[in-house]
Amino acid sequence: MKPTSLLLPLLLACCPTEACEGLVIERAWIREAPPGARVMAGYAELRNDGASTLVVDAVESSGYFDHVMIHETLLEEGRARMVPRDTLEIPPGATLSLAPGGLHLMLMQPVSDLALGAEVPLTLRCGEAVTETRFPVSAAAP
Amino acid sequence: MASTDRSALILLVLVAVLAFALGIHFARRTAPEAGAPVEGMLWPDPPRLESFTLDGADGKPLTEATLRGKWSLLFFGFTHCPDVCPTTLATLRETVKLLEETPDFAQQGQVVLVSVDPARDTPEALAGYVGHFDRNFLAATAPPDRLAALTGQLGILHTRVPLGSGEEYSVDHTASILLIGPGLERLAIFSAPHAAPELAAKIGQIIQFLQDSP
Repeated sequence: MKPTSLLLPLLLACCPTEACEGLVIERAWIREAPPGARVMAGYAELRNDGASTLVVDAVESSGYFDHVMIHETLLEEGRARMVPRDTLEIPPGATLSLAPGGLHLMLMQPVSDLALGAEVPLTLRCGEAVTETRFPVSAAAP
Repeated sequence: MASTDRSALILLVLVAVLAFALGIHFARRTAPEAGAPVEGMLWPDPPRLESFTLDGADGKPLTEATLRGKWSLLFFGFTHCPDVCPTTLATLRETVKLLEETPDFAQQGQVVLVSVDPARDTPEALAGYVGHFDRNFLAATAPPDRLAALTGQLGILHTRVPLGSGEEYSVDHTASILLIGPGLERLAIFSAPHAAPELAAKIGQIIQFLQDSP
């Protein structure tokens, strides 16, 4: 076995992962949903204070939702369409807004009902780097 | 007589310039005020809603009779819709609150969510869902054929769209809010995105206008 093939798993296991470089998450919230809701939506403002374009390629939730998708609501001739997005790209210095009626995190199958005020940790993944933030459950944008 | 020709030409140019300036002046005076674009039209004799029968969240049928004598705000959605539907229901809750100052709506107004996803939205599920936003909100759905009797006449479109590779799906749908009058008149369609203050102002104006006109 080549020594390099051992290196990557070792690296991943031993060391704390790096944060997404320059990613600042503000005004994060999850819209409260009626009891029994199977899908919820998460919103936030994602700012890139770094020097290069940030690409968020996955969002994860351990213990709160089955899985998380990135979606965009598009309004065309009065019709709302949901379009899955693979990534969120944020150029240096830019802020990407995830807001009602537009881009949002689609939080699938909550493990249990989330009460108003609950704080849900979500992990945004940028390649190997990850940034975790708490999303409070709220009736309206903060 | 070159100089006479020249004076005549100058006079002609002067007259033309004056006429042009006067034209602009009067056009400005008679033109409608700027900044008041037409936002919609009220039909003099609006089409009426024809009969339909949905299964209400309260276990009773929800039909055109449920809407008769009321100002009804109709919205079409589904409970597995995380973004547009809860946002619109929250907007409708705020709109109803703002319309408390329009007495007729405060007494005779109602909000109805019609689910376009009868496969997943049972009447019981709908009751819990709308009740969370406002306990006075009504909700209903029906199997596709009976649902089409309402969506068809209102021009509401809805299409199932698979999400990923599993069995999960979303429903692309018309996100407009419709105002139905007490005589089942199809009075207005408000297109998304919705904002409560604008919506409440327009609905209040429409109700006021219809009450003032003979």
